[in-house]
Amino acid sequence: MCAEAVQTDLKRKFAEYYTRKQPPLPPDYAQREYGFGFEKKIDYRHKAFGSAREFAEYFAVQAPLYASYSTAVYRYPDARPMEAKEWLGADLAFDFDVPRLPKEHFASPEHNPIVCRKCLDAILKDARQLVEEYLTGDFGFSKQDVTLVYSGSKGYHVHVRAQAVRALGQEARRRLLDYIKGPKDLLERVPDNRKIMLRGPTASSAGWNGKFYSRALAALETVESMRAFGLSKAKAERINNERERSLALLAKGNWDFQPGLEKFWVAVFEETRREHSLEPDAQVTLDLARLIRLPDSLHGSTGFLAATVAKPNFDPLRDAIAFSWRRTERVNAKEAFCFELANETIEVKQGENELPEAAAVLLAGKGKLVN
Amino acid sequence: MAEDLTGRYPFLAAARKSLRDAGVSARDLDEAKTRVRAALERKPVLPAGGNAARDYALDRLLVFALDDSLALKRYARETAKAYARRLADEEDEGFKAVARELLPSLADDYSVGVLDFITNAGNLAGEDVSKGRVLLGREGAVRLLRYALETRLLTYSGSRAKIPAEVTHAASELKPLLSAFKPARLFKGSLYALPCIQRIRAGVPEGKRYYGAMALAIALNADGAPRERALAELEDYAERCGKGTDEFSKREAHTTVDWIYKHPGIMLSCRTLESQGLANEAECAKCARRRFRRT
Repeated sequence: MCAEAVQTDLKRKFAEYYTRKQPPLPPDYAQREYGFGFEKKIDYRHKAFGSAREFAEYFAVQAPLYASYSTAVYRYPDARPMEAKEWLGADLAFDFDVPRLPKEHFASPEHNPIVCRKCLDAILKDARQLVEEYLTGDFGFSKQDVTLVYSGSKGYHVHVRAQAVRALGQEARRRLLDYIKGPKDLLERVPDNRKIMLRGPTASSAGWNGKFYSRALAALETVESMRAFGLSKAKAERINNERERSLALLAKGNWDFQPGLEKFWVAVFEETRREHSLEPDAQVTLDLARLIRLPDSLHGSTGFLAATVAKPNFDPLRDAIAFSWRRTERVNAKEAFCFELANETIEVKQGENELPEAAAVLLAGKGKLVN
Repeated sequence: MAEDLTGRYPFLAAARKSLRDAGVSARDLDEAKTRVRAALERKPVLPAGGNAARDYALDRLLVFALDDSLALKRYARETAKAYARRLADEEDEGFKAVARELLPSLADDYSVGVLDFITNAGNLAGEDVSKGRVLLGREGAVRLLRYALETRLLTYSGSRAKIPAEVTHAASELKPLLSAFKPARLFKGSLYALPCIQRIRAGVPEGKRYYGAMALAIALNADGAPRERALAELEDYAERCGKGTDEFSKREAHTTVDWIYKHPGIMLSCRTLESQGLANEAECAKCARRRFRRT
């Protein structure tokens, strides 16, 4: 099988799949623009569908390797240029595709270039944090309006489909991103009679102020926890001995109840940011005409489903598998690989192998097959 | 809504009723010029009395007729500040009646919805945010109202072509005043020579071509390049851009140049370049324009 034949085979597999099952229609499907990829991620865009039947037929007949839809809704979604579409609003979308892991991970054998569980877990953790802490937490969106979707490859997308977000402009969306990323500082240095007083969040603070205040309380819990943030033993013990007074002052927003605490608070604040700050891909959130992977469509680089994450123990390497695990395929691998899929370790040797269909499609999508 | 409130706050929807039969005399226009001039000199005088709604509308029309983004920003900021000061002294009932028109989600405890907040102001992270509400207190609500009004004052949905000739003429008389308050330390170098602009000039992929074209045209216009040169440069740029699913046509390139050259007040925004992925941090760190950056 030559490279072209592998690609043809992948297309045939996708066609078989889409004949049986098509992705569900997104909300307001007729007002969305669609983009499809047959070789690269988007070869063809400005497509619109007037009926559910037309949508289903397109997938069954064309079997695209990649399917995307617009976060925006338009009066004329297939018109071009873009201005002619008449933008009516856009969902709020977030994209996480970079795992926050130490650089060493990517050079270590622990990182699997075919499918890396550690990377996927790290990204899912961030996406879940966005949903729970920010979207349904601080921002108060209802759970029904927020959908977490696996991208089908390395990342996760979060869609907020509340009517209220549709009219938000780029600047307002940037402000939400700024909040999620976190402030640079939350302490005010107030001049007072030739002294600088540190004023900050209080016991009733919420949002980032509340997060910082809670982290500060935890840091002040014991002499050891204070020392972990670089406070000297003497200062930590003094605060500990005057615990009640110190906490009462802090509750009122007085952050220099002892002299020389500024560096300590800077360290505590950095830790607060490390715990709570998130950095989704800003361009996806800011782009008001973004095409994003269509939920529950297939991803051409893996054969996985861009599955909606509904259950708490979602595992993409189990729950996003679209192709058969029982049926097998004979394939010719460019080199030897070992990766995890469907709770099993798949060992592929260079040359001919008999693999579960899902694993064969994954390797074909990754361009790891020859012949 | 009480009539005295619409007189004090002529931006309220209820004030528009009185606009229906409002005529404008040469004297009204002169007074509008005086008020706009005062706002640009940071000593705003708010329209007052029975014709406040008409005068407010006239002032705004005059500012838009100036077609100068810096003047518009200054007018909006100064006018919004003055109304916010007036609002701060209002009784609770009047304050909330006015405030709820600009901030529909304002609650009795002076909290607003997160979306209302971010539509009007930044630095959400510095506020107390909980379950979709931003807990502002009255002082914070006044501050947010000021931003909300400033946003409203910056927005003009009408067509400049339809501005009456008398107003356009009055605006032209105000024009010489503008140079007096322009910041002296604006970047004086060539925008076209900036590294990000030069990289854009080499062509950008689909999805970035439109903003890229805007940036190039703004830079050329700001540098004083003749329109013909801008057209030629943008045609070359269109050729060099990624073709993607559709090419970026010469016609689109020409439209961009025409638009920018008709609106010389549009400035190059570093922030937009960054958010569109047309500039990167490393490049910006070394940029000569950085220390003049205001956007």
